[in-house]
Amino acid sequence: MMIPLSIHTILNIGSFGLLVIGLAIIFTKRNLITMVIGLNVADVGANILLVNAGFVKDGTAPIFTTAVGSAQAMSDPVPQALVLTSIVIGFGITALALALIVKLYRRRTTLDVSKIRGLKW
Amino acid sequence: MLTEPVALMLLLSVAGVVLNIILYRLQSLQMIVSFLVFAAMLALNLQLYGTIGETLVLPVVVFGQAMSFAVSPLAFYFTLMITSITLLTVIFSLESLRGKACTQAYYLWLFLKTFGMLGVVFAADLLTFFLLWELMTWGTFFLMQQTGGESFSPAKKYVVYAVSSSMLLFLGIALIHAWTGSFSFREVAAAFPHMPEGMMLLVVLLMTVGFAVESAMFPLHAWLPESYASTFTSLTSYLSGISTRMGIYGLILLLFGFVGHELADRFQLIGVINLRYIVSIFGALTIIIPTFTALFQHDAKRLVTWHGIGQGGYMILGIFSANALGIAGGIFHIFNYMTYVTLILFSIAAVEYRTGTSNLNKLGGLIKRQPVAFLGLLFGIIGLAGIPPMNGFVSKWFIYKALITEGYPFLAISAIIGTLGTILSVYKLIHNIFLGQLQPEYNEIKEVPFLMQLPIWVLMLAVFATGVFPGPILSLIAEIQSSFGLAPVPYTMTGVDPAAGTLDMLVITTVFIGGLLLAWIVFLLGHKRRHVSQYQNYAAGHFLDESIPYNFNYNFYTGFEHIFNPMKKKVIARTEVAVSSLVEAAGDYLRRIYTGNLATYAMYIMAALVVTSLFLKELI
Amino acid sequence: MVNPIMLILIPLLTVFLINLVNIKWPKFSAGLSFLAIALTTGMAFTLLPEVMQAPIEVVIAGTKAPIGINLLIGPLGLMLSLIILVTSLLVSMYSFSYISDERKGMYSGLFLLLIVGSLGMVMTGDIFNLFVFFEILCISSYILVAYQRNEHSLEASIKYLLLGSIGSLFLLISIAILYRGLGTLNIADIAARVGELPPSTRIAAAAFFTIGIGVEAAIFPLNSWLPDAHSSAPSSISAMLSGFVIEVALVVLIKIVFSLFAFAALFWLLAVVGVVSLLIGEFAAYRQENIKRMLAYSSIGQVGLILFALSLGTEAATRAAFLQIINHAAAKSALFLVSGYMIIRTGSYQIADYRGIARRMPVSGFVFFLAVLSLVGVPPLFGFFSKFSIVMAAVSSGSTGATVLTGLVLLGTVVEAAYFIRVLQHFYQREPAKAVTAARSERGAGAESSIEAPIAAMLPVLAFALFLTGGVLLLGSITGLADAAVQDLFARLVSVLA
Repeated sequence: MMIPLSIHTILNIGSFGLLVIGLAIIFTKRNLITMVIGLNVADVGANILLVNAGFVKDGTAPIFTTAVGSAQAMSDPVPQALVLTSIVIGFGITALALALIVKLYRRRTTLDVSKIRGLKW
Repeated sequence: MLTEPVALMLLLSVAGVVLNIILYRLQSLQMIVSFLVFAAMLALNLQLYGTIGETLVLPVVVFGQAMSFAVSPLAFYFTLMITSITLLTVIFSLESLRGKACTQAYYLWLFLKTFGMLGVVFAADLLTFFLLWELMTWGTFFLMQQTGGESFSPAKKYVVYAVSSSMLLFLGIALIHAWTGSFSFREVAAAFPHMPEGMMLLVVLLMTVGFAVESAMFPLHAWLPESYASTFTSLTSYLSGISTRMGIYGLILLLFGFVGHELADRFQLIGVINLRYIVSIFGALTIIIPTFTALFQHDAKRLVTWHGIGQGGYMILGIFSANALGIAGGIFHIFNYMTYVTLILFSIAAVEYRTGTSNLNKLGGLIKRQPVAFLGLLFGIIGLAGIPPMNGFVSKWFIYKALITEGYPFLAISAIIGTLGTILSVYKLIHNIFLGQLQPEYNEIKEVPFLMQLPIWVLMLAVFATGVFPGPILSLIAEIQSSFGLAPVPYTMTGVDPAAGTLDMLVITTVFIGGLLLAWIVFLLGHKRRHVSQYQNYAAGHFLDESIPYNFNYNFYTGFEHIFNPMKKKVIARTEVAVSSLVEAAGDYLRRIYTGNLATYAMYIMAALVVTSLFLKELI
Repeated sequence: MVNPIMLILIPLLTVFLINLVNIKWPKFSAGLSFLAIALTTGMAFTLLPEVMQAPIEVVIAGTKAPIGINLLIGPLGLMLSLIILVTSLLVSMYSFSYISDERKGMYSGLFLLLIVGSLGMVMTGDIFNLFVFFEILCISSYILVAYQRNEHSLEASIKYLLLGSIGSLFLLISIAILYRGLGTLNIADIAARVGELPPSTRIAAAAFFTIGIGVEAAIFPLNSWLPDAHSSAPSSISAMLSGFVIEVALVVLIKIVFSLFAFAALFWLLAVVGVVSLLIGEFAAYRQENIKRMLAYSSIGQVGLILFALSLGTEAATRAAFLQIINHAAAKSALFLVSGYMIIRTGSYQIADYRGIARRMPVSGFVFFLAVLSLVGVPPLFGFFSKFSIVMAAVSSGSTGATVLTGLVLLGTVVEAAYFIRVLQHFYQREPAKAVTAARSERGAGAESSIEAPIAAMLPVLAFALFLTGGVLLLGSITGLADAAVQDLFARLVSVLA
């Protein structure tokens, strides 16, 4: 039996998949840069989850034109705006993280988090 | 409102703190101002006698609760002791601490501490009581570390004990407030019997243990000897004379003010063993163990501070005896103990002031050098040992009598054993300081200046006068007893009513003095006497003269020590070490949670997410 | 009337201005940021009478909630804003002399951004805006932690950043879940309709939200970054992070839990976790040799206490928690600021190297002494009253569980007293440590002279100390404000779900 997969469901599954993969990278990898990449993957997952929240099947762009009369047929614009913000924030964090990692690498010459334990207890 | 003596007394002590901060670097001004303020406080305190029973509500509102103070007979009794002993301490310190570099904050903390004590005693609601109780214990902490370095570590020990005890009290007070909805003593007392039994027991236990720490009851006494002995001797007397007794004040308040005797007996365990009896057993242990520990101290101050713990046991035995005579004895003993222990410690301080040491192995033969100090110590130890005609005898007699008539033979025997130990150790005290051979380096010593002699004379008079005429103090105690609804002690001017047990101190004193006179006459009539110098002595079949310096004082009770050594298990010291290493180990293990490894930290977050989700899913 | 949005706009615009000014006249950046904060603080105070009457709602871009974005300033928001602003005003004054390197401009800008983020978080009525302000707060604090650019601060910053980002991610997921279910971002609107969500969705949103903000709110076990970050940041930043940043996150968490996820189970979980945080913080602090790490662990303990009081869910306990937040903001800021100059003078972080320092830094020593006593809760300092009211409120809530937890809180206080007293006694020892004897101030002079911090740094510290001692006199009006904040918070609590 075929289960009809809507694009909505696929996106949902995909976003959760990305989240799980991203988090799994963060929790299993010890390389700082890999961890940052994991964070990015998970971030993408969360963004898709968010933008998917405003998804309307066969919806149009949320612009009132003569062709589209009702707001019901439009995609929700709010999540798209949110995702843009979130992407920008994610970009900023990634940039900052990489800058800090570069600085730390110059002093420590390692990226292994289990070895960067100057501060503990 | 502010002209009321109570408010004025509290204001004056705050003013004392402020003035001492202003005059921080001007020591002589500090001294004069402090003396004047404390003198004014004592004068005000005496005026309070006419206002017993009045309540003062200060316009200071804390959490919608105006701070209230009341002059109960118990409060009057305690404040009188506080102000008079503080004034004597200040007079003594004027000379003994003059020019010492480290005393800039001495009077400041003395005022803070006095403020706390007065407030605790006057307080008429639990909020005021607890606030000032905290202030008082911190005042004690700052006061006892005035000598710097060596007093820091015992002071820290005190603060751990004191904060723990405050926290127990805090929980107890919070529970009382939660159940009775009020802080006011009167309302709490009225609502107390209606508390659920289990809750009542919990509150009573928390507060009893809390007060027991402050009154240094066995086995919670271990903070006291070191911390009191390592500070200035004039402070040691103040602290052991009155500060420790605030715990006893709390116990009196709890037992008679809130719980009441009938209720206390309700907590039956097996047969006659009830909560009151259990506290009394701890009181008896408090007498015996510290008193015999005192025997083996080689420092005069430490010896006396151990007795301070032991004497607290008598007070507890008396107060918890459920007998008019015993309760009166317990309360009277607080006053008596204060007078003679201060006297003893002032005398030791006088010796220390001249010789620079209070080590019993190094002193000796000072009787002719410091006769006033000798006389002070003699009067003091007669009081401490409970020998007529000094006041210690009266209160101890009350307590023995009560224990026997109430049918507690074991408690009475332990009290008597304690007295035996006391006599042994005070003999060591007076012998090692004043009798025997004079150490050559102390040949040139003179008596202390007049300002230091004055408190000694005053206290000698007090110890003797209240011994022969205990009536005035007993009348106050009878008032205290009636104010708590207890049967008042049937006192007379010189003792108790023959109906309650014959005690007439005037007769006893006359006999005593007569006996002394008789001995004097026999002495005069006897054979001709030869004056020998302090160095001509006789020991173990040998004549000792100046050419053979022999120090009797060194390790005075070695024999006893030999007997008692196997019994010294140091359980408390070991427990303390165990607790402190437990806290350290707990800290060490707990901080290992923060491994420094980022991967572990990330796992914590994931685990927290899973646990939270599961927990919420399960419970909703 | 002042528009509350100015509270956010003024510091935000000043950040841009500082970046411009910084190109030509870097000297002025610190003064500029101080002026901006002072102006904002003044405005916040003028808002006070009005907000006490009724909360102010600011509509942005002409569209009303629930569709538009709004700021909602009730007594709760204003109280927290005042705590934020007054603390940062004093800290920025301290920074004049404390931050003396050439990167002053960057520091001042980030400092203001930190304030913008905190203010935004407490004022916003929109859950996505909450996320944005949260990110502003986080990013600026990541950079400020790394400000000293040494090995430790970089390490601490990276750890803080990665853990904080995981938290932000969870927060975003929670927002996505809520928006999917309800199609709105306005907190009041979500609160009104949150019952429409299926329970499992609501639980998922609650869990992600709690953990997400919990990282920043330093709830155990999400606080692993805190000892590192707070001890490696410049002391002025440690004062801000410990003084109000964690507390702001905590109150926002509780606010959202009150309005959206009022599950009784969640309250219990948070109360227990609060006490666990407290015990772990205090016990770990007991074994610290590094003064700033000790203070950081003590913050974990204090935040645990605040969380415990907040999650008891009674009005009295919440009011007490607000008092404790105020006490902690003043006392911990003072402690960090004082330790900042002790570190500069002796060149050491080790408590052992501060032996006898109070004799050469008498004012600092005295302020440290007062702040410590206030944290432990010694009368008549402010801390006594806050701790007292927490315990009273916890016990009078009547449940056995709360009483047992209170007992543990009091145990924590004993440990706290023990380690703080050890430090204090160290400060007042007679024989100074080598580091203390060798210490010199910028004014030169010998081993006996004062090495006290400069007056500009001492004034704010003294202001904190003055508040801790004299704040008791203001207790009436502070309690009034806290009461209004409690009403504000409890108005959101419709019913607790068992």
